Amino acid sequence: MSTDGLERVRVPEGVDATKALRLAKRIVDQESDNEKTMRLSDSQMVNRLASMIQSEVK
Amino acid sequence: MKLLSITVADFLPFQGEQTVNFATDEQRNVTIIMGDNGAGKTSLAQAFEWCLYGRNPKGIKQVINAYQRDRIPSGQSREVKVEIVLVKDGIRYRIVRKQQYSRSMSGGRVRSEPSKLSIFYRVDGETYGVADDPRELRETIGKLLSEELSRYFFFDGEHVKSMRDEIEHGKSQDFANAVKAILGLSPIASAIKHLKGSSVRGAGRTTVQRNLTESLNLTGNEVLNKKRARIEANEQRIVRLEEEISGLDAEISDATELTEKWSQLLRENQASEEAQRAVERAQRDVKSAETALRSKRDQFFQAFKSGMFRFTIEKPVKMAMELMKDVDASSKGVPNINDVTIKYLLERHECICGTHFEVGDSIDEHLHELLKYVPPKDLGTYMSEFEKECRVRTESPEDLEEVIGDAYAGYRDAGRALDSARDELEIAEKHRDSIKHANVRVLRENLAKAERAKMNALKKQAINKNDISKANKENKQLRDEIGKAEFQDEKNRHIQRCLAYVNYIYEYLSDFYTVHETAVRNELADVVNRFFTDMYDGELYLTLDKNYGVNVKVHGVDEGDEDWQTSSGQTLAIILAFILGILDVAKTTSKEGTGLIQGDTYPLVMDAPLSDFDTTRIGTICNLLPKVAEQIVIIIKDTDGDLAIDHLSDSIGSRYTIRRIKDYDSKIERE
Repeated sequence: MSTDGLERVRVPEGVDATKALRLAKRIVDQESDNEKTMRLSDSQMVNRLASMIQSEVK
Repeated sequence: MKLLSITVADFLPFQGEQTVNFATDEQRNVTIIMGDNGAGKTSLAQAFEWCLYGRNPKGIKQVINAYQRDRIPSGQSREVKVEIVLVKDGIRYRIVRKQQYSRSMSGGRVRSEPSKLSIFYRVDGETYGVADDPRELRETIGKLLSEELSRYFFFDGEHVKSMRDEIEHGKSQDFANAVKAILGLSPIASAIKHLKGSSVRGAGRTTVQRNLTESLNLTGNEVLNKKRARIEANEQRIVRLEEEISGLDAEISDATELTEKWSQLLRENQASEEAQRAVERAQRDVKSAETALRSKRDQFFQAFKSGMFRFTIEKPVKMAMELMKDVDASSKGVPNINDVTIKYLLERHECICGTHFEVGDSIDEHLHELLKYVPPKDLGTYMSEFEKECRVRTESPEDLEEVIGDAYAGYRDAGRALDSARDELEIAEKHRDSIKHANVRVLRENLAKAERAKMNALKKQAINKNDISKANKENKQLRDEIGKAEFQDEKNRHIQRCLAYVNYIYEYLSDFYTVHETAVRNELADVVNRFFTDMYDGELYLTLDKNYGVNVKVHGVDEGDEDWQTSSGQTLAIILAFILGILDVAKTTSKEGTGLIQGDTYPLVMDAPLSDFDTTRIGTICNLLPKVAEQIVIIIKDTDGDLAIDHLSDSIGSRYTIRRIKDYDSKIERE
């Protein structure tokens, strides 16, 4: 499966691409879990992700 | 995920506890369960759904074995149980659903309690239980295999029918989402939606971006700087006020010394002070006497002023009245006769008695004399009026001389009192001056001045201290606010950094999703077509639309938007090809390098999947299934089963037969 084209996304100043990718993976995992369990509503998921990003980004 | 076993106890046709252990070997991953019609094959397939999701088979209210149910004694109960053991991500789970059926004491109908789910899992040799909470249990089941996805992997005739409708006609967003969930695309779409909103899943009202942006506090630095300037000004003011307080301390000290000094001097000059007090008393008496004199003088002048006219005329009037006393002022006229009457008689030359007279005679003269005494020229009247006027002017209930005399006496006495007070003052002053001590008055003025100075200084000090307290309090509050603002400032920078990450991750995932969703869909279309072609060679081919709906086409024929009509065998082949395609692609995506796409693989539990195929295609399908799916459970009737066994012999790891002993009594036997 090709991943060509992903390099098009410019990494903005102050963003660590590795950390961002790790964070993206955690976000997707969280979404995957929630899709199976349906535990959190949309707004709860938004709050969860916002907290996750805030604690990960220093 | 792999199934290890299923145990049924008094479930539908199965009496007592019976277990199927599934093949889990990678090479021999097929479990075949065969049985005649009515033996209980479909019931076994339905046991999966009842255990995992508590879903009763369609049209069946009680899942208890009817034979056992009918033999529950009055007042007693019996339990139905299905237990599934599986392994997922290296963790072994035991899922148990039980349901109690009871007959009342009166021997009436058997009633069921709600079924009860329990989940146990084993990690590092230790067994744990999921909390007995419906939400926790539902979440755990969802993580293992959500109900939404289950119909793709646990399907019987009913599922096949509904899937055919969905694949051929539905093409709904829900269907697309379910497929994306299996392929591992769905979580990425949800992440994109939650981060900033997207056209993939619709823009939510709340997003992470909005959430973070709303937590920014954009209060400007200008306000912060104003607060800092205010603190500085307050601090300068506090320094100035403290200096003033210090200066006032000196003033208070000086004033205190002076107060003590003047007080001491006053004590030392007590006689002088008393003499001074006598002088001051005498001075006050003189002032009072002067005031009284002015008042008496005014009273005297007022008395004279009000009687001045009478005082002036009284004497000549009285003299005139004395002169008039002897004058006969009685009237010589004739009563009720006036000058008109007399003049008429004079003009007529005839008296009222009828006597005729001439001008110059005695009657004429008499009448002329009479004119002097008849009205209007009546002397008596004049005198009478004059006398009356004199009486009015000179007669009064008050004695004018007495009134004026009394007023004058008051005035005179006041003058004497003043003279006396002045004499007293002179004596007091002479006495005071004879003592020749310090000027007590000056001493007292100095003492009062010193006391005032001390009081003012103390008052000013108190005001300054209060101002300092207020300024300190304000500064503390301002510092707290600045502290919060600075914290907020740091927080804002942090949020801005987070937003930069949100934007980047959003862009990255959006790009990733666009590229991979198309790639996955194209790959799925290729794989589905490959499997379909393997199962059903001919002119038909399949295409996938954007919602993963399957369109059946014929090579070389352009029928527009119309789908090609398919037979039941072709339809089943399409469904199988589609499911196998999903499993195959999910297997690939689960190995994706970034780990963002995580397709899940599940066992395929199929109830009578081959009944609509001919022998050739059964062979093809049997060759295909174990290669694509990681674990296959085929529940099949005997006639198809024998054929399947021939083709699957190298892949079968476990084989069972369900035998119908009698109604409501089927046995699962391992071959």
